[in-house]
Amino acid sequence: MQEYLDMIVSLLPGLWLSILMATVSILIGIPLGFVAGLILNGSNKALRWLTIALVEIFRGFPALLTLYLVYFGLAEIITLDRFAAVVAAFGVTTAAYTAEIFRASIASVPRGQVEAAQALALTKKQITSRVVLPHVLNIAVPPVIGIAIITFQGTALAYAIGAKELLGSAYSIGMINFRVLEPLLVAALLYLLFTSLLAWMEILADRRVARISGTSFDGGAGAARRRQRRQRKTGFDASVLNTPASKITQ
Amino acid sequence: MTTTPEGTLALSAQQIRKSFGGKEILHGISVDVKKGEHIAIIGPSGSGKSTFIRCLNLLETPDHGTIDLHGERVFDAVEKTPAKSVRALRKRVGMVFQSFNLFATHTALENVSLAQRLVLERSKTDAVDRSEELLERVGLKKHMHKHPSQLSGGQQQRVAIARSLALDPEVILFDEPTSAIDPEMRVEVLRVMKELAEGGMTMMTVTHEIEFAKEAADRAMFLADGELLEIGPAAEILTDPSNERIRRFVNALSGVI
Amino acid sequence: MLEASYVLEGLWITLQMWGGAFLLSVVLAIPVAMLRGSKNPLAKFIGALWAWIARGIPPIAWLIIIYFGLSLGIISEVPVLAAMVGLGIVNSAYIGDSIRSGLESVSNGQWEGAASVALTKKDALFRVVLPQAIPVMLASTAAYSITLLKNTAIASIIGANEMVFYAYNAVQVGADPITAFLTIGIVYLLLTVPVGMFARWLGSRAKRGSERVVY
Ligand SMILES: Nc1ncnc2c1ncn2[C@@H]1O[C@H](COP(=O)(O)OP(=O)(O)OP(=O)(O)O)[C@@H](O)[C@H]1O
Ligand SMILES: [Mg+2]
Repeated sequence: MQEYLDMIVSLLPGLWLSILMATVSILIGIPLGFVAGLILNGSNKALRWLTIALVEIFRGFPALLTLYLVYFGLAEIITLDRFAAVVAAFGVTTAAYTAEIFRASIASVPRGQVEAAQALALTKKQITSRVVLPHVLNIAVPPVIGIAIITFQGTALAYAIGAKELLGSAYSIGMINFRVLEPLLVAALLYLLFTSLLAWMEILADRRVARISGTSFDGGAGAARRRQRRQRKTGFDASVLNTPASKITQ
Repeated sequence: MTTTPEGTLALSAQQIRKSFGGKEILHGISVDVKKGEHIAIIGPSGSGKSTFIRCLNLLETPDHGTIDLHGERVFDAVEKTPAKSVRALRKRVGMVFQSFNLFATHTALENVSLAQRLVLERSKTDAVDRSEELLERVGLKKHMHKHPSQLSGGQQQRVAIARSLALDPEVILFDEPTSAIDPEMRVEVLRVMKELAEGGMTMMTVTHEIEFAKEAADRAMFLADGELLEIGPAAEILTDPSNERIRRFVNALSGVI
Repeated sequence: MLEASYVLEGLWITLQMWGGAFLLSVVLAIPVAMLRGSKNPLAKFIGALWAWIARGIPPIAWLIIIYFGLSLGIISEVPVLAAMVGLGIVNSAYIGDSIRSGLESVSNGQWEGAASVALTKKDALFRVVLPQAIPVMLASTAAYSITLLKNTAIASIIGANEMVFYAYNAVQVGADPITAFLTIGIVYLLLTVPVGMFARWLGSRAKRGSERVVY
């Protein structure tokens, strides 16, 4: 037992690094994704096509490939330490994933609400910041948490460029002690716990959206699921450990 | 704004024309609304009632025509109206929509306060005080911290009316305010509107509620195919229409075969 | 220099892993969906536990555990096999979701309608519900399979000789990293973009289908 506790303690710096990498990547990715979402809803055609291309590229590239591209590719041009490479690579990946969420959230602001704001003599800027933005933030939070889960798990790929994040430090501890499996399993458990924490936040956020706007991003699939849970007639109802992270397809 | 002598026009729209994609929907409609007057706008679906009323607060920009508020020219289609003037007009002309269009992420109180804070630049306490007063007036003070999704259609529409009143407009436009509401909930909205009209508010209401129009409107205007077919005292036009087309329409709405 | 023959060889391995992991995930997902849909709380719990663990651990961690940590005979010795198993496990949770949400997309009224004309539960499932649910399942399965394809890149870390592996090695011996990795990236786009379009097309078709059924 003591042995496992020691193992957890020795993995904590790695876990901390993973969390840090994920947080910074998300903090880079969300604003970029939001701007991309604005552009995708905008009227500037050239900018829109450029954004579509970038989003398709970084969604289509495996995250590992993007990481290599940044870490080895940019190293030719600028000096980049591991951490910077990781957050740059996963920052753009997160941006590409969230762009579509923000695009859809912005597009989903009912026209009538913008018209009502216009009829109340609000300026364009006021309408954006006081009517559109709250709506978008409200509705986009649950799926963005879903992306955050992907980003958090994705930081494990930093192991491939020798970063001592959670997976990397579990592997080295195993190598030092000639017992590979245990530290890996402990690391896996830590990933599992953290992922579950985020998934739980996603569920709470989803409920909040449903409460406030009466609908949610996935067109009420969450509500449908809850309804289904109540209707056990079919024999195929939703289960207890429901992870809406599954809603994010790619 | 100059003070208006009694009996002058609150709103005067002249020769309003509007096309969508090359097709003219409004063929030059004019109306003069006296201060404190309530005009009902009646007409079949697609006749251009919504388009007309939306032209009056520039949610649609008329292709032709002018709009005066209390004798002051606020819109003329021959000149480009700067965004600032558009907002100045909208501040003076309120709008209530068929689908309420309350801000979904804001509570009832916030819906009513928002424009007071941003447009009138009222302090928070002043805006809240005024909002509570208005919500009290439409009978919803106890629901003021609820989000629109927690309110019934009738309640949402009354919040929307309070929201519109919050800017102290000179005219309020209503576009089928009760069409999206369950029949038994309509009466509370109609009652608020009737009180407003009796209180001297200048109003224009697109409606299919003939009984309400007869009772609460001073005049009725009948639109058909983008033309003003007739305008006159509401009770007269709607009780015993001399125009055959209007008679058929009114009878159909009243369920008379 | 990353040679074209290596890219093609890597592509072949990538496709093999994609297909193998996909088949494995479907094979695993069906019992998982049945467990999760069961009325027995224990079965339900096991199904949910499987999905939770499969999804809650990063794919790369799965591969490392299977390849370096466990000794599962040949699976733990051949990187391509280890990757197929690891990615198959992860994907099974998603495919399980596809199956469930496909079934849930069919309204309860369909079951009741089938019961009202005295169909057995089995007939109701195979004759009424599944034909409506399968288009929905296919759409989300296609979307998940893009993630699966991209995840095969991870196998290079444990030494599976797929595309990224060859690019990485070429870079280690002096190839230009930007050219090498971009080349592989383009190959991925050539695969993911069409599959994405196909998934969206399936999705819009499934939606139309279900609307026709509901009204
Ligand atoms: N933004 C638009 N673009 C194109 N056509 C429009 C637009 N808005 C309205 N129209 C057309 O203008 C005509 C009049 O529409 P309008 O909504 O004003 O009618 P209405 O009298 O309010 O009808 P209803 O009773 O159904 O509300 C219709 O034929 C409609 O299709
Ligand atoms: Mg209308």
